[in-house]
Amino acid sequence: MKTFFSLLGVFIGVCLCGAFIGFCTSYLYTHATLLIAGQPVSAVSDGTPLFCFLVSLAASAVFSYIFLVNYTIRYPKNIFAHVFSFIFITLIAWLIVIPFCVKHADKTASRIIEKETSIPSKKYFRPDTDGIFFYSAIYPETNTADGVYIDLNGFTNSKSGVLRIEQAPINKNVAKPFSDLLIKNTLTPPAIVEPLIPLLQIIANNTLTAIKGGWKSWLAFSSIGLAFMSILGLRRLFRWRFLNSVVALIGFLLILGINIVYFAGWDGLITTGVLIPSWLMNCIISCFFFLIGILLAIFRPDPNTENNE
Amino acid sequence: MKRVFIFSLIYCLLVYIFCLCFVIFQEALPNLLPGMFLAYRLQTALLLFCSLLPSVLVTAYIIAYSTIFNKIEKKPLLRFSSIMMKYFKKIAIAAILGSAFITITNEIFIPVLNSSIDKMEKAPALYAEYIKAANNNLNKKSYDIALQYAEAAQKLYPKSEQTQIIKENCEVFFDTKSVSNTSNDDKTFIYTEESYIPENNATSFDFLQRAMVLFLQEEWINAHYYSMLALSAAEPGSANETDAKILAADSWNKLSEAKVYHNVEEEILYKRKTDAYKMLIAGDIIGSYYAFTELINKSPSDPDIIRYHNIAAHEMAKQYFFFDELPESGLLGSNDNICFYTTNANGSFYVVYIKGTASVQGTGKKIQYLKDLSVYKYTRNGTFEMSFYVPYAKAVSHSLSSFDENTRNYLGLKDKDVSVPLIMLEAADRNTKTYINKPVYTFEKNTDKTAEQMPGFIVLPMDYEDFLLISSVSFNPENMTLFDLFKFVNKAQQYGYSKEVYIQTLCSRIETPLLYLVVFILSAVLGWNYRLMSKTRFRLSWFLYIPVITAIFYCILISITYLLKLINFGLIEILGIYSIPAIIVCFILILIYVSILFVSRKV
Repeated sequence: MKTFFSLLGVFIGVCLCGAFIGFCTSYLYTHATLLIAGQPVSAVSDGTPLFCFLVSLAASAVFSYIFLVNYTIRYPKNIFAHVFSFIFITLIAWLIVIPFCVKHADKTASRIIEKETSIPSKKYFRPDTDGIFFYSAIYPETNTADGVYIDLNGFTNSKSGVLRIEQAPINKNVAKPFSDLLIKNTLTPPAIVEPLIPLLQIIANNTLTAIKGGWKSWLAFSSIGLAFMSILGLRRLFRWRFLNSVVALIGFLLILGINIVYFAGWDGLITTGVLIPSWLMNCIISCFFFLIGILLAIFRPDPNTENNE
Repeated sequence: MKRVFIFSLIYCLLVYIFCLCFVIFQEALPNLLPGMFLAYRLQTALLLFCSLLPSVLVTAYIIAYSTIFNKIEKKPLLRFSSIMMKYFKKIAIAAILGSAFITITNEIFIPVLNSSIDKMEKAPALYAEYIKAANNNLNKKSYDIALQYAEAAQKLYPKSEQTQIIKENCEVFFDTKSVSNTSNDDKTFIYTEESYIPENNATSFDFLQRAMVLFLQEEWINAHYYSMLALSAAEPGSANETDAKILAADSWNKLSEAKVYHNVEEEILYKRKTDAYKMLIAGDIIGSYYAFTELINKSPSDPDIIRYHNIAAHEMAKQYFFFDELPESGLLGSNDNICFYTTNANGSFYVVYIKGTASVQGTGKKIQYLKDLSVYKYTRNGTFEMSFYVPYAKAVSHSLSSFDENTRNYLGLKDKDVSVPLIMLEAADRNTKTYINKPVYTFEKNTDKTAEQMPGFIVLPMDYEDFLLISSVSFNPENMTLFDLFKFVNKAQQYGYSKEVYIQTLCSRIETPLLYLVVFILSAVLGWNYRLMSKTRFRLSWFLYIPVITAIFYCILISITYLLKLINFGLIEILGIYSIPAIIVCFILILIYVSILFVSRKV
């Protein structure tokens, strides 16, 4: 019983903390996209905070598995208690928490009005790919500006390298998703992260479609929850607890990766051949990990318990 | 704790070797000068290693701690036991050393490596330009400039055969000893406010006395000159003034009289001297300067000619700088791309763009030569007034107090102790009257100003120190030194740079050591929590998983730094520059928390 409540406590704690961190991050990110050098920030649009919170809650419910398995590694107890708690938590997460969050996030998203990108401020040097823009005066009525463009790569063939611009139309979208090129140059995501963002977008879209498709499609989709649950089977793989945690994390990322690849449609490798439904694929993976777990439980004592002397 | 350092050292070495292999097997190297390939590879690998260093160290620390805590004899049975306190001291030292090493890498090694790699990548193109310029000058028979370029090229590529050939050609026509002996001081005429009068503190009466003596000695030119000095120094309406006027008039008349000479040469010399002097007095500085230069080349030891040549040169240097002052090779190699704007008191502002700068060694930074200077002047509302472009200019540090009241008010700088940049735009040849390089002006359509009315210089309404600082500012604030960043942060906005971006960079740079202190202490906590069991030994097969751990920590650390950037921007919006102390306080609190976390560990 104690195990069950402590694991449930961990789950709730991770969800709330994760939701809070996710909410702060996305709020700060939205704030940064509205920032223009030299001007106070305009308010974030209505509905954005709630949207951020709900999405973060759903995401942290998914990522909670890593922390749950980690907890069982650090405080190993009766294996059946662990399994039972995991099943219960998976049911709560995938049948209640995540559908609720995603549905309401979708409703809130439709309420969020895409704010019109503000025009950049004058009297700042803004480096673009080939040159530097400087606006001396901005005319918001006609969306034009006066100023100079400093050409750093010699494309304009002017001797001085400087071109005067008068009443030139302002390209408001040059810094998308940010409002100001200067902020964009500072906040470009690191090179490792950039290819991941569209992939996460794909999984988010598929989650939404699955929920909207009714209970059957949602159950099929939540087989991924089953696969996540099965990483519990990896907790005894090594004699060093640290590596057990690491391998649980790797297992989680592997399952996530396989599902993303499945939904994104990898060219020419797996999916052009036999197309199995996603739930079958996840069931196979979970059976595989469960089998490992069962075999390890039978043939090897729990390496994580030796600590408690 | 020795284990921590040993593990770190070994793992760092292994990762560096891995980086080296990675770089060697990468795609083709960029075009480089011969002999630079090895250095380029080593440095690129080192740069890659520096970016991985934090995660490498964290991994090494955790593994070391796991094995250390495995082997301790006394186990802490209660929280906050003395055993953990003892360990905490050692861990704190290890954390400080680790954090210091990472900070030094970020502040010193990475910028140095970046600039060195950048130089190596740009070297072939620059070398080709130097050789081309050297050959051009060789064909034009400007041997000293050709030699300058050849030496610059040789610095880039010491074993070059082409530079040897060019240098030999120069030496044939030109005595290199005399080139190296000519100090650059001769070529750079530093403008000082003291006027070039031999007896600086003399009074009007002294000048008058001197003039009378010279008059009696029949040296009409000198007599006239000193009587003019006496006139300008005299009190209006005094007796000295009247006497000086009379003496000046008499000397002038004597000058214009015909004189009897022993030979034709002397007569011609005297006539030319007198003509040149008359041009000087009449204000034709250019004419008199070139006339005296010709004279001094013909008779270099005539004291009159020397004196008036110096005076004419001094006047000339007030308005023009000479082509041979330009450090050509330095300017060719400089591509700083400096841009900024400065505002006058009435709200009109100048937008300035300079392609490159160079200074001559020994002048300190008080004189800078600018390449491809463009200045655009706008009114307070941002409408265009005028602009100009000049290929070469000379910026001189000039004390504000030497300008008149009107100029000082126009510039709007109240502090009289400040020096401002005075940029000279017109360049002349030192020895022969060829052409004078003037800026090309463009005016706004409805104005009646013309290029002829514009003075040959421009004064920028800013501190000269700021002018130098902006030369070192880059659009990527990560490349600036911390010191420059501190100086610049408060002034960024007035010169056209975003204050938010620079404060954010300053915050990030200050956060880095604190963040890694926290991370290393947390790694000790992790090391304790995941310490190896008492009878377990570290298996060799586990070494395979270490790179995976490093990769995971690399991703975590990158995410944390990105998150901190977002938090910084949020804080800057609320607190401005005070976000820096706020962040320091937050980190100290977190540091205290993780320290307590470690000390409270128990079995």
